[in-house]
Amino acid sequence: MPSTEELQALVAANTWSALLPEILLGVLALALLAVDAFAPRRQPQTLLAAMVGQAAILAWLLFAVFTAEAGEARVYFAGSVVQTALSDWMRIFFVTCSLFTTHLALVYLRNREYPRVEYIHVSLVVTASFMLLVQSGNFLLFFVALETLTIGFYVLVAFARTSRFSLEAGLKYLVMGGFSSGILLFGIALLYGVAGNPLLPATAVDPLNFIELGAFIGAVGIDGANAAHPLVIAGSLLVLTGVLFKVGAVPFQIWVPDVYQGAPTPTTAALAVASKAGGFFVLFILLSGPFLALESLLFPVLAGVTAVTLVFGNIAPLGQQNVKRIMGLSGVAHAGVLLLGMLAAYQVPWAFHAVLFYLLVYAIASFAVFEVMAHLAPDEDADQDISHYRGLLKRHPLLGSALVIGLGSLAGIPPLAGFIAKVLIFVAAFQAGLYTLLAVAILGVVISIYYYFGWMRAAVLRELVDDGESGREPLRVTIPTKVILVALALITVVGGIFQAGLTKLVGLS
Amino acid sequence: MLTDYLPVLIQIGLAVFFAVAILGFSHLMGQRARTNSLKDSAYECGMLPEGRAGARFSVKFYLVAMLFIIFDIEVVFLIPWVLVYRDFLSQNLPILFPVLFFILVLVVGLIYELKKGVLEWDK
Repeated sequence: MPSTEELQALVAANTWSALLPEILLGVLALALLAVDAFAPRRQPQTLLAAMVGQAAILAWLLFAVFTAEAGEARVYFAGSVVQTALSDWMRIFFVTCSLFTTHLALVYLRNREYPRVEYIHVSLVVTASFMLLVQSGNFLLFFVALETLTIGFYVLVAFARTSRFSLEAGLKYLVMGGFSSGILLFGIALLYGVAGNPLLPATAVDPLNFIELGAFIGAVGIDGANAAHPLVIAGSLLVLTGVLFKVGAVPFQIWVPDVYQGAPTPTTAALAVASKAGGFFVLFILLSGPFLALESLLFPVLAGVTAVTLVFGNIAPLGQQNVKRIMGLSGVAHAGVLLLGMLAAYQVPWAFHAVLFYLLVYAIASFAVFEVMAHLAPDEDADQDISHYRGLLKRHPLLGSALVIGLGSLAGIPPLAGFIAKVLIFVAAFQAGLYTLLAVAILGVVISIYYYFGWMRAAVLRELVDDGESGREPLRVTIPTKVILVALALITVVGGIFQAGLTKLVGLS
Repeated sequence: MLTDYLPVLIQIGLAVFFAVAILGFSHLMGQRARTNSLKDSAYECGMLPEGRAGARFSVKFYLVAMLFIIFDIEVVFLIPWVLVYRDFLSQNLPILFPVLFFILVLVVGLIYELKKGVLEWDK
């Protein structure tokens, strides 16, 4: 039992106000459930309130960031919560993702007989967990936040419970996710055990704390460096495995195509954007914090993972006709490019800001594509074929051009923002001297143009074939959707020519 | 250090020994049973077995099981809370409201389930 003074110090460190946005998201999620249970007829208003509530939280976070003075990291809850300028931006990123996911969910659930409010509820809880994850300062909060969001994703992936594909995806994600969580937890336990060993130099009092763990791993004793201890090596590699699973890097990508295809489109979007961004930010926290002294071990491992991820991610989508599988497998390729940026960050300090910029641009382009996908999806959401996109530009010019701009940005075509994002990461990799990986990445981009353009070709060049199937009724595109699509496309185009605003957002100047 | 774990090693050794010994001896000394497809089939009082072995349960069983787990976990949290309640109060540390908030979240979930008719069995 800790002493009274220690307990009082712990209580005094519980600055709940620092986590108010997350708490409010949780309260909003609970309130949605309660209101829906008592007033099910008021569902349209409830859903609107969900959007407005998220927008209010987003506005508040933006206001807080712009009025805050730049300064040191803020540490709360006795080191569990560490807020930095970067983590503040990630919180805004996740709330924005949540808004887009909510909108996608409303489009997706429009003609389907699934519960609506519950989807938004789980999505909000997942968002709050993402926000906690990027602020975690010890493995306890890290793991709890990661598990909360993973369990939320299990529900969201299997949400279309009358679809065999969704159930298959849910089961696969559950089994693979549970496995990776187990590996991650085992790694944490090994690190906890070895860092608490009093026989080793610089024993940590609280081995779960990132700073103390980093100090322990960096310490060198008479018998050699702690970084060379077999348990440290095993533990850090296992933790890394758990995180690489989340971002879908090879060889932990096996779940990606099936889960992306089977999951409802809004869930696929959240997995592709928020889950990937969260994974990379966590990777950054780990590599620049507790695992900093392990560079000589982790660098070759990550370099190998990057190489195979780039090769696999660009070759695997070549034969695919299902657009959700293409998004999933090409997401693996994007993870490869982002990993390249993470490796460059070892040598070049601004490389991680380039990674954040890439994530931002990737999110904007992906949401534009997913919005179009949600509108074109047939009744069985998993059967989204390239052939459904034939003649889209003529059938609905706005959807068609948003798709082309989004895909062009994902492929990295010059006038669009995606090109600048790729160039920034490649320049960072060049400055860091990663020439071989850079060559693989550039080759990958060339290959990726093939499958992105195959999709675009269907939308732009191919004529609409009237075969009487796959629902040729006019597409219902509401005015808010049009505004969102135009905004996303505009940011992508303008971001390719003039980046000052976007680069400033991620601290890159 | 490591010698403290000797009893565990002995335990593991005993367990492995017994498992191997029992299986091995019955294999070596036991009588070989005659097998054929009829002997291996399931005995259903002389009837031919029909249908699938895996029966499907109503989803309500799972919902009740989940409710049980939720309250089980609540109890797991509440028992240590009760044990330190007096100590915390005497040292002027907040203990009541954090737990009340925890229970509030659970109760909102419970009310939601009741309103959705999870516990109405014959619906």
